[in-house]
Amino acid sequence: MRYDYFMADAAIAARLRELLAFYSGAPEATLRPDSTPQNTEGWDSLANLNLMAALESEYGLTIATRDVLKLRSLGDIGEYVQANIAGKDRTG
Amino acid sequence: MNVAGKLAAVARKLREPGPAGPKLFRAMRKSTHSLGLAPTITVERAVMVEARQPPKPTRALSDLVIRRAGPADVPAVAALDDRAASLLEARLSRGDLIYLGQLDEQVVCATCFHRGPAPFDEERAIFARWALENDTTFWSYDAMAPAPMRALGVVAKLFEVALKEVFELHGGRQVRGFIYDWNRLSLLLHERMGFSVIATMTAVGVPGVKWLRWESDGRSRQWVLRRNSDFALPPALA
Repeated sequence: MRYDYFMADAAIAARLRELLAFYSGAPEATLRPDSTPQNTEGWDSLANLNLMAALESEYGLTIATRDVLKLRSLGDIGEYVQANIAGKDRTG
Repeated sequence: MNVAGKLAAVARKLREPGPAGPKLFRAMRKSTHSLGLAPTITVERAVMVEARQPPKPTRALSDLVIRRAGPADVPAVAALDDRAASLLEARLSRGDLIYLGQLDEQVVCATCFHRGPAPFDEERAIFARWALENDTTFWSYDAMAPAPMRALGVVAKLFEVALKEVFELHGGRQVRGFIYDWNRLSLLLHERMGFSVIATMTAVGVPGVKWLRWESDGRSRQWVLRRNSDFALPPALA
């Protein structure tokens, strides 16, 4: 159930994989919801910083550093993006 | 093979022309640490990197407060990885720049820069004193963060902002650093931030004596020195 967003919003999931592959150099096909910096080659501090910047820019988000520290996997990031886009839609 | 035999193999390898075998050195290094022989006996290999401009700034993590640390910050910085406070106090008192990243009231990461021309000599016993030509050359060292935070972006953001200040506020023209070859993630991070490798250094140390091999631009030199020698690198290789 944790990673339903991958089925629920394939567009976000696909874009996330694409962005992370670009910044980490990891093959896109190897990226899964349970991918983490610890099990993904190249997903280092700078890759994560660039990924967060790209998500802020593409989805109009401001991701607080406290939130970044809680996002430990690609699945967590997808859930966060989806929830915050939905929040913006409701309030916007 | 016992430790003495492994050390002899390293010594033989060092005498051979061309690049020494990284695999053998990694195995040796692991052995000296796992057998509790380091730092009395050391086998280390590392690369020197250099940047001549700050990295491109990234907008993310804009609420992470990044600032110079002062004496009052020493306990919080030391707690990042159980470092001795006295070491950080000594660094501040000799004029090193310590930058920290702070979230609300919590210090989450820190990194240090040493300004030339005084050599950086904390690695004197294992490697050498690191010569810095003038006060526009800085030695970048020691990124500190609790393990769970290391890959999440705070260290990269801190390094990015701190490097920008070193270049733009403190007159830096080149920033150098030294990365152990087992720390591939750090090397990758530095390369992505615009650092390039300028030399490789191998060091084998036993009580009282160390053997250094320096490789740069396809040339190499070797020295046998006292463990706490005042010898400074990089040398003039011309």
